[in-house]
Amino acid sequence: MNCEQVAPYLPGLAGGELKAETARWVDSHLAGCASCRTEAGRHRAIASALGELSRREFEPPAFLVEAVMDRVHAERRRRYVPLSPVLPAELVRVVQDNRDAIVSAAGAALVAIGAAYALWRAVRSIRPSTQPARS
Amino acid sequence: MGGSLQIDRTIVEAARRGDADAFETLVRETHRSVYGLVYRIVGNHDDAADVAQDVYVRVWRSLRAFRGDAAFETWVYRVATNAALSHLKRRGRAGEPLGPGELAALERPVDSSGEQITAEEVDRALRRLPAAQRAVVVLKDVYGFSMQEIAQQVGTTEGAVKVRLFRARRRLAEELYRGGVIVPMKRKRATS
Repeated sequence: MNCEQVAPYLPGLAGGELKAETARWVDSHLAGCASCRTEAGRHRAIASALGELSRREFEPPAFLVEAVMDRVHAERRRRYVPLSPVLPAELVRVVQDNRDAIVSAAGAALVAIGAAYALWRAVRSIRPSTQPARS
Repeated sequence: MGGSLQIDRTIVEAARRGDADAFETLVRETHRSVYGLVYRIVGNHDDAADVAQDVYVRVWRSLRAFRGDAAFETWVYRVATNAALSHLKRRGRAGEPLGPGELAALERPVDSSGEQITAEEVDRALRRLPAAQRAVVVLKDVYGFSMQEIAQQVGTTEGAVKVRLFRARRRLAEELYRGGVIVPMKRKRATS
């Protein structure tokens, strides 16, 4: 084996990810090759520095949790559909909170009514006349 | 499993049933790690804050469908990784390294001494990787996820992750060479 064959395995060796047989094969090369030992050391240093990064946390903005929960509560309100009779004030709030859904449903209902009417007209126009033809 | 979070299953179950207080507890327990992961992928704090919010809204919407096949934290990381990569795709920046402005906060003269590589040096090199490569290095070498978990998180096969990780680590070493942090090895062709 030569250095070029071994080089691709050095990061995996540093991360402890190689199969035992492959690791032995790489180690046997490293035992007799100073430059690859140096390179393997560099990859261990890179792996160690990356591991160091895991211990560093970035401070999230202070508003993050609050902003998330504001959006979650807004989602909950949008999904809320009362099953029992509601007071007028409550009804107004539900309509306001579900305005988009109500507009979409109304649009869909109008389209459905229009389609039904068009179908009825089409069926009516092709129905054979029951009145006798005038002479 | 990667990451260091230990989430109480009863809180997850309560949130799954729609308990917003339980969900807030989950957010408080995970938001530092999630924010850190997103920030490492998208590269700036403003975008990371927006993406992190989107992550939790997606988690809230999908929580009822969460069956617990994977750990909750693994699932959240998966959502976060996908959201961060999607954000970069939308911006047309999935294949690019982070820009000079985003690197400015970390730029400083290279002070390589022997074979010591500092976390700052490797972080700076990491930010020069394309987003997809940066994500797998962050998930594997920073957060310690297994190949299988990373494959689930980025939506590909374990083999594809291995290939991407191999290329990413090679690119990372090249960036360290380029930055003068380490000197390239002179490879011998002769057998030994």
